[in-house]
Amino acid sequence: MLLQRLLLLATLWVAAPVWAENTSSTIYSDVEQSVYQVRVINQQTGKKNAIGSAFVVMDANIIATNYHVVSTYINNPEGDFALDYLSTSGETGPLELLAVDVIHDLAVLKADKPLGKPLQIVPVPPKGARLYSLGNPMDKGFSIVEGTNNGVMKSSDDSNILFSGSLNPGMSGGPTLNDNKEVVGVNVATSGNGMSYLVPAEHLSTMLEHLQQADFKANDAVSQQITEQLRNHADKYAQRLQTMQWKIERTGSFMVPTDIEGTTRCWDNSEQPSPDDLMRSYFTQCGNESSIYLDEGLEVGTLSYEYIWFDADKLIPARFYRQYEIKNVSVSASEAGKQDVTNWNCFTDFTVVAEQEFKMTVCRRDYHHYAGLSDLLVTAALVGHPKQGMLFNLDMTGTTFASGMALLQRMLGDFKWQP
Amino acid sequence: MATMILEIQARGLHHYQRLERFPVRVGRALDNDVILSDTSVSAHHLRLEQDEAGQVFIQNLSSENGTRLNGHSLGKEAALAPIPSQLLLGNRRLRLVSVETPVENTYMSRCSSVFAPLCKPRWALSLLLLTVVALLGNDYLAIALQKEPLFYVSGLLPSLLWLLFWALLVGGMTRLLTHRWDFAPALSVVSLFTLIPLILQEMGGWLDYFFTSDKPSTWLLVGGVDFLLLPVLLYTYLHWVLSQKRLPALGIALVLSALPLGIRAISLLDQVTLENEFSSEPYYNQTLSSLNIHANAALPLDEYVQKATAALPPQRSP
Repeated sequence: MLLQRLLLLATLWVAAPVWAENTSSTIYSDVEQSVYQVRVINQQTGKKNAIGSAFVVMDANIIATNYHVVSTYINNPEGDFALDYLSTSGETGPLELLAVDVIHDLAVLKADKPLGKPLQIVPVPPKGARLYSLGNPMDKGFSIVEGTNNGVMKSSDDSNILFSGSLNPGMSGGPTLNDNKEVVGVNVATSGNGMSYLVPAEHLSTMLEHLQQADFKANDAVSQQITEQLRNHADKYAQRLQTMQWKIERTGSFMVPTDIEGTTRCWDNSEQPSPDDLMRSYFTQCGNESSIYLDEGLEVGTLSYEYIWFDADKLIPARFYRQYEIKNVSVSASEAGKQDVTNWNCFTDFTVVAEQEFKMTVCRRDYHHYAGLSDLLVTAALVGHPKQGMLFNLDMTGTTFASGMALLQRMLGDFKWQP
Repeated sequence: MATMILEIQARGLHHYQRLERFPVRVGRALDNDVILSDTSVSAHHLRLEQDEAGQVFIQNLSSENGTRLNGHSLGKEAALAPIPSQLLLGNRRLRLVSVETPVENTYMSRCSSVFAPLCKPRWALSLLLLTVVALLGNDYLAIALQKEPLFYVSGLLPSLLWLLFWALLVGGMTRLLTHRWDFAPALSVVSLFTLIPLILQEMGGWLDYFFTSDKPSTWLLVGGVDFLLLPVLLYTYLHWVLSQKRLPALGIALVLSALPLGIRAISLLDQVTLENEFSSEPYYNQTLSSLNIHANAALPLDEYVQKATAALPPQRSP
């Protein structure tokens, strides 16, 4: 693995075309004045707690970055933290938080003096276009990274741009530019090996337009704004899912909703049977593979659901149901802790889905700091069939309870019994 | 002169000495009339005399451990002993009673009717067999893999060894009390101690599913198995098999179960404390039953959703 990576580096170094370096260097020198480092400073120690990159946009004293860069500041409203900027020439000064878009991981800040020339925002260019990403990776100094635009992701529903270039921590919030030095996206994440993600800059435009109407006044209730954004998003998201076309596929004797094109994907996670096994299980696991970052260790907006079908022709019912009962356990994938959520509250009863009887449990827990936002965990076990079983688990984080239940009903409505 | 009886109290069986001719000398030396081979008794410890009226006087001769008459320590002079009287010579307890003292009713075995299985060897073996079948069945149900019969037998052996070990222990303790080997009751009681939890566990599972609640099995297992089973079985054994009186039987049963019960109480307390803590895992009734017998009828989905929504209101943050 290490060898591979080294080879890749060497190739790039040798093969990197000369014209690209030229473009990179002109771009860098042209926009250098507009790129900053944003820092979250702990007032108690005077040291930086988090860093990210930012760029001047729309107005000379307005800069944009990621929500996650400044999340420590937002999540500790007691005034323990402060925001400031650092320019490429080493100048620093305080920043004021104007607004955030937690769904798209964006934040807009204001400096007390003009910072530089605002960069222009343009729509996402065609796939294959050269892009240049700027930022301050690992606090090692301002850098420019070249890569290719691979378009807005189709398979996942967070609609980020896939950027084939190496983004590193610290570059978050920095701009990604086209050849004309216009902002296409905002650096947001990487999954390593040159797979990086950008927030389309259009989302930032929308935010800035709203701010311009408000004359760039700071939103007093940022946390309330975040809560509203999350609730709206959760409701809209659940509604959208309900109206979408779900693939209906067979799981044992059931036809169940599985993938939604461009939103959720399913994988088979069945265990390979061993020769001694007396029962077989078929495990389909689906999820939206996206999430909204709120705080360290706290992400919401995940949706996952799974179907496990059990065939136990070789077992007497009492023996099968012992195993079935052991498998009837559901846990949430969320890492939310005591500081974030209440304890689970569950309701269990029998219900009928597709003329079949299920023992179904709905569990709910609520967020302390985001009123109206809940995690929902549903688990349903097919009962009344002595040698067959099915478990359906649904795990939604950061949804509203009503939307979650509506989505549950929509999904269960698609169940068909076809032995 | 009236004949008196001197009861020498010893573990197991008391000895009775008929006192026909007075004075009677009591002590450890072999020239006494009543010889007590107890090292806390002096060589010449006590002298009993009787006057014309039949009253008994006791004179303490021991300067070592002394004598107590009905709880009062005696000096050198003779003291009148009422009938009956308690005597303590050193550490040895004696009782001075008249010949007319009534004796307790003859003990008759209580191992009858409901408690017959506790004493009859055939019943004891049947209980053991039932326990073995239950253990095997439990193992068989718990494993969903193709296994040779020997696999289950080897799984059973440790439990069987434990059963026999405890039966021997209980039987041995009984031997100390009754002076005879009575293995059947011990085997019965130990078998019941293994069998009852298995039955209650199975029953608890059905009831949990029936009521869609974990309470039945919690009560049966925590209340029944963890806290009641041991003292109840001990009491049953002491009262009906060893024919101890009710109160002493209860006392011994409680004393013997105090340690295990205490340990369980501590772990129960821990559990209760943990339940009030934050947990990232939901807690709900997960039981499933192949018989599928439940009290609540299955609801149409709409009704289910309504009920769930009503049952899960927003939780207030602390």
